[in-house]
Amino acid sequence: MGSTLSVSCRFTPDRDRFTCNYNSTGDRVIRLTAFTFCADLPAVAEQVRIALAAEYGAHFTTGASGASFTIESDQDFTITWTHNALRDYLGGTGAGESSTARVVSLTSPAVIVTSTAIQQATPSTVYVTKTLERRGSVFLAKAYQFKFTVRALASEMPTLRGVLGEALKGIPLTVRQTTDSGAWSWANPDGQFTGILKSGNYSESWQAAPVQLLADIPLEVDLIE
Amino acid sequence: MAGYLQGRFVKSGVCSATFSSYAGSWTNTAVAFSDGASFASTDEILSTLAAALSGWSFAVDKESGKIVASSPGTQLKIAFSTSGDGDDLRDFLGEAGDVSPTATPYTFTSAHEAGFYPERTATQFRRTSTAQLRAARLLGDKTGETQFGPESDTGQTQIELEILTSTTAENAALETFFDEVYAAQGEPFSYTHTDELAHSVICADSPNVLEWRRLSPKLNSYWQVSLSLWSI
Repeated sequence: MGSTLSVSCRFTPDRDRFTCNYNSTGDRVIRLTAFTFCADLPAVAEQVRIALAAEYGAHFTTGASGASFTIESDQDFTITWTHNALRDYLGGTGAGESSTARVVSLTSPAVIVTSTAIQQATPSTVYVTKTLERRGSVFLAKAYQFKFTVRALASEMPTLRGVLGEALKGIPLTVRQTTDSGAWSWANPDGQFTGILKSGNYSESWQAAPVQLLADIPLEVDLIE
Repeated sequence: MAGYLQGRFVKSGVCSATFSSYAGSWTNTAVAFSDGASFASTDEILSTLAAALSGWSFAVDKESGKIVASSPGTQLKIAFSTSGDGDDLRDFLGEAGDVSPTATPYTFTSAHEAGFYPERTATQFRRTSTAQLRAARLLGDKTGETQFGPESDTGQTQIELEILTSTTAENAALETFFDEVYAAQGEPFSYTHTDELAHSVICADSPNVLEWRRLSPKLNSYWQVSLSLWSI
């Protein structure tokens, strides 16, 4: 059972729309709700479905499983990518997509499902303190960090590098440790969490790989709420 | 006895708490707390109360973190004054209001603030270094002299503490302990090990990072948290 690492998506002005032509009725601009933050691909799929429903009613469904992203309709349709950033996130190619059997299937480079679960997931609670004269040390801020090790096959490394490359730009990364989609908490210690990758901790060196074909890459994120 | 952590308490404003016991008639004893009165731990507050109240005893139930008060006679009641700032003491001890006449012994309504009582004993509690706080210089005759004699200071002692928790609920409880320490009374706090000696300590590192490490990858594993402390 593997783990899922997803680069989050926010519908900034360079990635908040595409054009859809449903059943040859003409191009219509599909607008995603501006600046909505989606922690992972299923959240993006739901926002795309909502935007399509706003224009076409209930003729479309969307789905996301792992890195797979689908748009399905009851008639043929075509998509024209208006914003390349959105196309690249979803895994589109060229200028647009034509539905095959009324389905557009894409593979997002923003997601990797590793064949082995992440190792040594270690949460940390961080207290930034200040010492006062009478009351001793009190805290100014409290934050959470998460250390974990991604174990990847050599064949998974190119995709992993792509995902981490985006995360290293400061885009939040969502980690689903197992199949548990609930948020991490002490009541749900194997839940998923979203954070900013600490770039100083990323290394391409493959550390302590127990088998030559596996790479252990230690990572650390600052959790965001 | 597994070791435990308790926060300190510094009284803000004066107050008094009146403890009454019933044995045919009510016997009332008021215990006054001055502004700035400082207690290193809940245990120290309770021993202060026990010393001031004849025949009373207090203890913390290590399962629930609640204080158990026992008085002479058959009943007790407690009234916290609010003419100063009585609420902070009352709240710290785990009560939301005065205690109406009730049978003795009496268990307080809630766990006292800033208490952590793990199921398992800490796996490590050891002194790692001791530093004397005196400036020293070497004299011409190759002897030394110090600014202060050894009797005038106690130096600093660094302690490594490895807390073992059994469940994630205990992890949450330890986090709540630090939340309550930092949000309310601040450091230092108190650690009592199996020798039942209370050590007043502060965290050596800033920021203070509690890193929760599973002892094995299994879901029901024990967890370990390392704390680097200064004993003061």
